[in-house]
Amino acid sequence: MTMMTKVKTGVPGFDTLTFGGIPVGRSTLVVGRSGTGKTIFGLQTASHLARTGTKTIIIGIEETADDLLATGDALGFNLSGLFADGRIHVAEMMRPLEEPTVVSGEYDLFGLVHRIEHLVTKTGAKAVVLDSATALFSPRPPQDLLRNHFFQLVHCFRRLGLTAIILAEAPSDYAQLTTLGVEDYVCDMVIIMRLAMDGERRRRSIEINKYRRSPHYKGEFPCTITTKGLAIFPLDAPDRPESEQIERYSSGIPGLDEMTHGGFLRNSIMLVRGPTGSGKTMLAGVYARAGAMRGERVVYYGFEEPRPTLIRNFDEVRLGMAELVRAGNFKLICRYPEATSLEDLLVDLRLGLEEFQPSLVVMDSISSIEHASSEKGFRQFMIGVASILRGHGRSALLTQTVLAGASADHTAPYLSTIADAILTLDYTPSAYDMNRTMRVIKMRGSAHATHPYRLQIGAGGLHIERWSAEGHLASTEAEARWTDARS
Amino acid sequence: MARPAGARPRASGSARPGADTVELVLYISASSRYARTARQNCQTLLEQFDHRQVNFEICDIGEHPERAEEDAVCYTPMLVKRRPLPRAYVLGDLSNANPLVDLLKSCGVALKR
Repeated sequence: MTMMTKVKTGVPGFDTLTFGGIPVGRSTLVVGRSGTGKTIFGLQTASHLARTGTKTIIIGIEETADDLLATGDALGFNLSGLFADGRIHVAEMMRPLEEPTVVSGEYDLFGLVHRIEHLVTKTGAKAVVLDSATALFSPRPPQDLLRNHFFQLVHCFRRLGLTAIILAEAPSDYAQLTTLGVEDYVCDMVIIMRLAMDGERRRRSIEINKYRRSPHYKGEFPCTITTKGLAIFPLDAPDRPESEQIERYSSGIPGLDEMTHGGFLRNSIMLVRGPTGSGKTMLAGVYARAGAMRGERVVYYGFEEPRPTLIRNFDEVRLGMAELVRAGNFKLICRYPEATSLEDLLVDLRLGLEEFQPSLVVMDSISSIEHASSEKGFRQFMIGVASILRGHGRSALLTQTVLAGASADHTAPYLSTIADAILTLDYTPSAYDMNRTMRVIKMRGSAHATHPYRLQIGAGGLHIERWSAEGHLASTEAEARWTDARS
Repeated sequence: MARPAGARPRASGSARPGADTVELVLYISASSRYARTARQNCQTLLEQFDHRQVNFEICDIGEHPERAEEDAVCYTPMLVKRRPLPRAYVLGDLSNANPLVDLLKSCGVALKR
């Protein structure tokens, strides 16, 4: 079995899903309902191919050349520039006819075939984007004729050695693949784009449905359309090459550094889990602040309270954030997860990482996101977050709200796999005071304390101290009763 | 209208292009198996009409792809009535004569007596 020669599309994430892009000299079919982003995929790939030296023809059937160029320009693909340089050619193959066509007898697609041959000879193009097959075959001929015509088209592309992207309309997200129902058989690769309802939200996704003679990621992957075009989130992006040396940094709390036997590990994702009021936000604040004070670039995403409230709360425990924000290396971003789609949040996160280049990222809390999405949506989001963080080699601290007493066992399996370290915060009931405790449940690549530590919130943030077994015994009522019963 | 070389009218006996002439172009492809039938059907049919009123030509898209572009032709065989405007289109090998007959009559082309 010979492997397909591939060419990169430049669509972020896509070339990972397909282990290198679309097949060279073959036809790739992109199907989806209207509004799923097929044209954007086509234009984005065309611009990338053109920029990297493959002359590309865009055959517009649904839209005029000017509209297609404008769409591409609005997304920063610079199609007009590439067009002016002669690296992209836009052909309007089918203007609206002045009168309806009357059919009399048999016909075929040689008109288009010859025109494409002519264009390829004239421009030296090696790739083509057809937008779309559905519009080309409209009005729609009988099924056997249609199959014939489509085959003729794909054969023409193949004969001319063109790397082709053919867009086609789908009647629905999940039932019949394409409206015409013939395209997928003759194409070497089939991509499905969806914009399906998930609870009360719409969720964009992309799926490689078929790739002849090539491995590919299977199933749906979240994607989004931003001002920079389409971006896909391969859920398990390849890790960055690990550095040989284990580098540690301080959590900002001496007691916690002691628990973790010397501080957190670089480029790892920490999950801090605990009930409301257990000190998660405080811990996140201290962690972020310590990083910023060391001169690192830090982003803090607050999903639970508005920015002024968050800053005030930190001020109260003398964790001044305002001056750090002013200094420029600390970013405090507050968002309501209900107000934006998770895909947009992912994009935000990614663009933020690319532009601001932080070394520490805090998200408080991922539970707010969990509550604002479906289980599937949240799972995709978290895996997407992890993939972005790992792809960028960032250290992150994520907080998660759980019921009191349930810190240790409430965990979706994928969250545990994502996290390199899990810390739990909890209350311990005591006769008079509320005892806050903390444990390190796991920490990849490092030894850590296995017993609980005590945690206090006060001026300057958090104090974490070793809790002797005796102290622990004395402070819990249940254990006190047990002690009574023994005496 | 200036025509590229080689795209001159081929059917003999066509009228000189004038204001009231009906201008017909039959787009075919030498690669297409419908080209021959379409040409025959079209010519047989046109013989029944007054040739002085019709300016008919055949264009092989394989040789003159740019001409197909002018008329936005993707399928073959395609008969395009270019004049009088608006353009009209009959797609197929013309095995059914009626659409073309109707078209010629609507343009006022008389049948031969």
